[in-house]
Parts: sequence; structure tokens; C-alpha cells
Amino acid sequence: MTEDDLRATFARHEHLAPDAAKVRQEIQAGIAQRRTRRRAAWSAGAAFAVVLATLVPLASARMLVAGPSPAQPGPLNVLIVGHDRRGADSNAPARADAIVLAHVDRTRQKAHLISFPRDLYVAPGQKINGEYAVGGMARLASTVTALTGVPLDGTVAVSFSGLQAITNAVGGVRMCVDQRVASVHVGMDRSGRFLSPARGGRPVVYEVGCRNFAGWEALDYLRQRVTLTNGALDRDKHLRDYLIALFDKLVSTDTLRNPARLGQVAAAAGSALEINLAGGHSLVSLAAELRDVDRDDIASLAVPVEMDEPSGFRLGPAAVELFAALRADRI
Amino acid sequence: MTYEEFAAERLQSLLRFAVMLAGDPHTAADLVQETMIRVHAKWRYVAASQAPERYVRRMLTNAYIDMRRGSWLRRVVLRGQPVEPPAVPDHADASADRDQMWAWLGRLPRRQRAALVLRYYEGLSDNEIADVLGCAVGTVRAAISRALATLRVEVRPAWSGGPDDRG
Repeated sequence: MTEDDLRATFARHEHLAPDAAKVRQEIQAGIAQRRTRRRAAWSAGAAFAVVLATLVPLASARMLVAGPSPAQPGPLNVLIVGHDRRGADSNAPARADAIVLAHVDRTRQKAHLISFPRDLYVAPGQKINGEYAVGGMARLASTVTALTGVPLDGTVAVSFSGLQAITNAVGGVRMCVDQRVASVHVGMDRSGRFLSPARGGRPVVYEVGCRNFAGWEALDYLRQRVTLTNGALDRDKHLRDYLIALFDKLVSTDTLRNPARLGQVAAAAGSALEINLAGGHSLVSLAAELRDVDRDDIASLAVPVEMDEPSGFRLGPAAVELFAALRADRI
Repeated sequence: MTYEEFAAERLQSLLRFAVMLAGDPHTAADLVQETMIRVHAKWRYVAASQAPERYVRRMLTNAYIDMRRGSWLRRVVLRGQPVEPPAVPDHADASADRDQMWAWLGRLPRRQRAALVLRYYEGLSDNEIADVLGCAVGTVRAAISRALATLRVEVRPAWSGGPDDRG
């Protein structure tokens, strides 16, 4: 009875459907607009790498929690960390100065990149970037999970050299510089040889606008912090710009869907790229899940924070809502 | 099939489907527009799938289910709007509406409404519905039976109030 009513109700309201010809025009306008936007927005940046490519793919393995049933995949959450260990043999503790949670929604149509500022206090006198130095990825991952309540499906750690290698392996990435940045690390003398700006070299400058970044430029740009308007927060944004640009490059060169090429990119970084996935997933199987995601589907944001004594941040009120939305996959 | 051929042939049918989901022409047009722009961008993948139309309907259905919650960021962070309170069903409104059934469809959870549309408007089997919604068949059946139960309780003939109907 109710079922027949339903069929009749649906049939009775078919006349509400808008006219296809009109909607078609709007769609065409939308497509044209998107083209322009994509051309203009070819984004900018450079430094912590591979990751998005790897990470999004990664997105499917539950790491700290029991795996989801294949019939009902959940969202994917992968923690991406850029750290400052130099050289594979160095045992010196590395700090995780860039911490990004990559969230891919259940439908695999949208992704979010969410930065945790390195100066976020996670306990009195204890900042989040120290967690990695003290206890490695395992400790940082459990700290992030404790903070957010979001179970992680995998982690990706990449060092300076790994970022550079990955960027070179994909043929550079295109980022849009949002503020003029003069490098404090890389400069040249009059004959064009490397000379640190600290010793009087003329610094390399990244002017506002969109451009291609080679590996060394991407790394240098992403390392810059002290001269930026908002310091580490701006640097976090540059990293997210980079991840999106890298992902876009992997898509536009069809690398994401080509297991051999994807493997080459990851291999280029060698031990400077550490990927840890749960659930028996490979980079390749995970990459396949991202087929519906493109750069416009990736939102870039930072965890909302407030200043905190003595010299860092604490979570702002909106962070609670953000984490709840993440847990419910309703962001 | 090219994107243009697909759009020319299937757009009207997609719009009807979207109206059943969304309940009003404006939201339906927005949903279809948004989805088709994505379809255009991904046409290679869509065309390569076994059933392009099914693929597009899946995108559309997901876009509908994710409609508001997908814009959490925009509403809460960028525009500073408060989180919307859930719509509270109201018998007085429902009986004032000429078409109670249609009004109550609008108050069902989106997933339940989508399941009803797929079964009773599109005529899909439970297996096919599960595929579109990306969930288990049991979940589809549970959603439909919950939705039907709600409608049976809430949608009443105009002159016969239930025992608890004091309004």
C-alpha cells in the first residue's frame, strides 16, 4: 500500500524536473569556467612530497584499527610527515616539522589535507613536532589519533632528500607562489656558484605567480619559514600546495594509474620515503581508489588554533568540530 | 559514446532522477550540474566503465547524500554559519501539505530516501541499489524497511487520526 503510494508519488512529481536544455547551458558554462580556473590556478609550491601521490593511494589500509569490510569501505586517513633527517645513515633524531593528515572520504570523491602546526602543544611544554623526535612515527601517529579520535590507515614519512628526489622523478611540479620569498638557504655568488645567503650570496627569490619547480627549488621553497608573513603556518600551506601539485602531476602524467611508473617515482626516493600501510594494501591498489579525485576535489586547511603560552598554539574551539566531522566522515 | 552524446541523451532522465532525490527543481539542477561538470572532467574513466550511466547515477546519488555535510568547511569555517538544526517533523505542517507523502520523503535521512527512489522510481534490484550506494545488500533492505515504517506511521489519511493524534 505504502509502496504503491510511493510509486504514484514519484510519478506525480516528475513534472518538477527542470528542463534539460537550460541545465545543459549551465553545465557548459561551468565546464568553461572550470577550464579557465584550472589554467589560472595551476598551483604553486614545493617541498614535502611524494606524499600526496602515495598518500592518497595509501588511503585504504586501516592501520591502527581492524580493517573495514570490503563491501563498505570507510574513509581513508593517512598521516604525512616531512622531517629533517639528513642522510640515511644519520641516527640523529629528526623533527617532524610538517604534519599533514590526508583524509579521503568514503565515496572516494573528495579529499582534505589538514595541517597540524609544528608548535601545537600536545602536553605542557611539549610540542607536536617533538613527538617524532622522541618516539618516531609510531608515537606521532598515536598522538595524532589521541588528539583527533581519527584512526589512521597508514603513514608516510619523507625527508628533505626524498622530497627532492620525488619532485625530480615526476619532472617537477607546478605551484603558485602566494608571497614573494627570498631564500635564506640557497644563494649564489657573482659567477653563479652556490653561496649561502648567510655568507653574502645573492638569495634565490621565488616571485609571486605560478611556475614549475625543479626538485631543489621545491625543497628550498618548502623549507622557508622565518621570512614568511605567518611563519610556520604559511609554510604548512606551501606544503599542502605542494602535495596538491604533486598529486596533479601524477594524475596529468597518468602515473597514478601506471603501476610501473608509480613504483619508479617511489623508488627514486629510496629509504628517504617510508610508507607504512595497513590491511595488505599496496601503493598501486590504493592509487586505483583515487581515480575519481582531481586537484579541485582536494581541500586544503589547517587545524584551527589559538596562541598559547609560552611560545606555541593550542587547539581552537572549531578544532573540536573539525575532528568530529572527520570522525563521522562528514567534513 | 562521447560526453556530448551522453549528455544529449541522458540529461533529462538524470534531472528526473535528481528531482526524486532532492525534492525540488533548484537543488536537482544544481546537483546535476555539479555532477555533469565532474563527469565531463572524468569522461575517460566514465566511458571506460562497463555502464557509464550507472556510474553517473552513482556519482549523482553520492553528491546528493553528501550535499550539505560536504560543505561543512564552507559553512562553518569560511562563512561562520551555525550548524543547521535537524528538521523537526511536524504533523501540522504535514497535514497542511497537499502531498504528505512527498513532504515526508523530504524528512527522511538522505540515504533512506535514495534507497526508496532507486527501488520504487528507478526499479532497481536490491543488489543494484547496494552497488549504487556502496553498501551491503542488508544495509539497503534495512534502510528501505525503516523508511517504509516511518512513512506508514507518519503519513495518514486526512480524516483518520491515530490514537495518539491529538493535534
